[in-house]
Amino acid sequence: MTPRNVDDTFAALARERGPALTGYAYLLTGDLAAAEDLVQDALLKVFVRTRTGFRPDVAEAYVRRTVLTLYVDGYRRRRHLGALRHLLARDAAHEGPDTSAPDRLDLRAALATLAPQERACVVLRFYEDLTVPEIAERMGLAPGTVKRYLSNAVRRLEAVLGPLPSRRPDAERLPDLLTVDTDDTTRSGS
Amino acid sequence: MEFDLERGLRELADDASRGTRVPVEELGRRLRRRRATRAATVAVAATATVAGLVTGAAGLADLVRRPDATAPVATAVPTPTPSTTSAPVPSTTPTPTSTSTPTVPPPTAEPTASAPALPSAPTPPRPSAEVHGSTAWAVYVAVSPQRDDAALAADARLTAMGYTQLRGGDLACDRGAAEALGRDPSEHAVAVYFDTEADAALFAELYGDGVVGTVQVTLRCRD
Repeated sequence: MTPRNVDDTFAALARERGPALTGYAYLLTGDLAAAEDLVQDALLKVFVRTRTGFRPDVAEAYVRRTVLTLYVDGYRRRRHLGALRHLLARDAAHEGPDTSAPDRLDLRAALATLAPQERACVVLRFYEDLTVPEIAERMGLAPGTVKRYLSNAVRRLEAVLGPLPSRRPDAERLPDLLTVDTDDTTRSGS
Repeated sequence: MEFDLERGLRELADDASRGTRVPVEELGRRLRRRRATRAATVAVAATATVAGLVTGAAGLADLVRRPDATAPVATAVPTPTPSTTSAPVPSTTPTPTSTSTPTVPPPTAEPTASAPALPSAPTPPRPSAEVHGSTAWAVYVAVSPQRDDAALAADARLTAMGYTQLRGGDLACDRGAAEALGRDPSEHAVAVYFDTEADAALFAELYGDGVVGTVQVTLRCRD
């Protein structure tokens, strides 16, 4: 792919998918400004190198992965989890869209109680609809670790939001969103 | 009423994406600058490498011609100055951390200034930092095929005691636990981990009824 085509792909992706990428990053960071920075950093990181066969859909997948990596690694480096949780939980002025719906406020508050890797696992599982093995591969973790993060994350979320669907009485008939085998390749809800 | 987490996340993301836009032109300029810097850095590094190879080859050739000559001092190949604009490479190997959540200080009762001098109740022991691959003494307070009401109740008791760190997951994540407890490795466990057997025993005594077992395990799934 010539540099010109790569630049076209970059511009098209930034323009057309930028908002969706920012929404995804917002789920991870809980802060709109941080989400926008994350997306821009990820776009630069991905497109600074000219890659062959870089179709727009492939490019977006690369950018999403880079957003996740930058988010998780950024928190690993800073290790200011306690301070960041405080900001995520209380800095309403910078938390992004003014959503007055009680459910969304509760969800934002619930997500703010999660550790970064827990939050990333929740977003990948319940928003990106990835399986546990896919999440493990995406985050460079063992499947058991992912399940552990998800298990604890759901516990924390339920403390704020109430029961989540995996707790339904008819859960035996439906795929449990959490306790999937490590080699399970089916997606939740399928 | 159950909370639809999937729908909630989608709505939250949609809300955030509404009205936001990526500054394409400005980002494009930054991208071109970064590429130019990267190209310059690569060129400098390549030139330095070639120069180093040429110098080394010349030295070797000289040595071959005059075997009595001392070997030339190896010329250090100058390492390229890292580009300040290059994006940091995320580490592929996660830095081992005990846990992604901060270790909560051991739950202790706050003494008041006017507290009488009475023998105080034993302080609940500090939990282990749970480093991946290390050993610890695990006190299991609930083990079940799925996370059920008993697990939730155990969670609530632990929270009341002041233990709020990560404590759930498959029994298989604690190597040695399933065999010692006679349970299936795929079962869900709620446990607290301690660095010493004495701390585990004290915790079990404080917890009281409901302890399933205490096992020395090797910790996995903490990466």
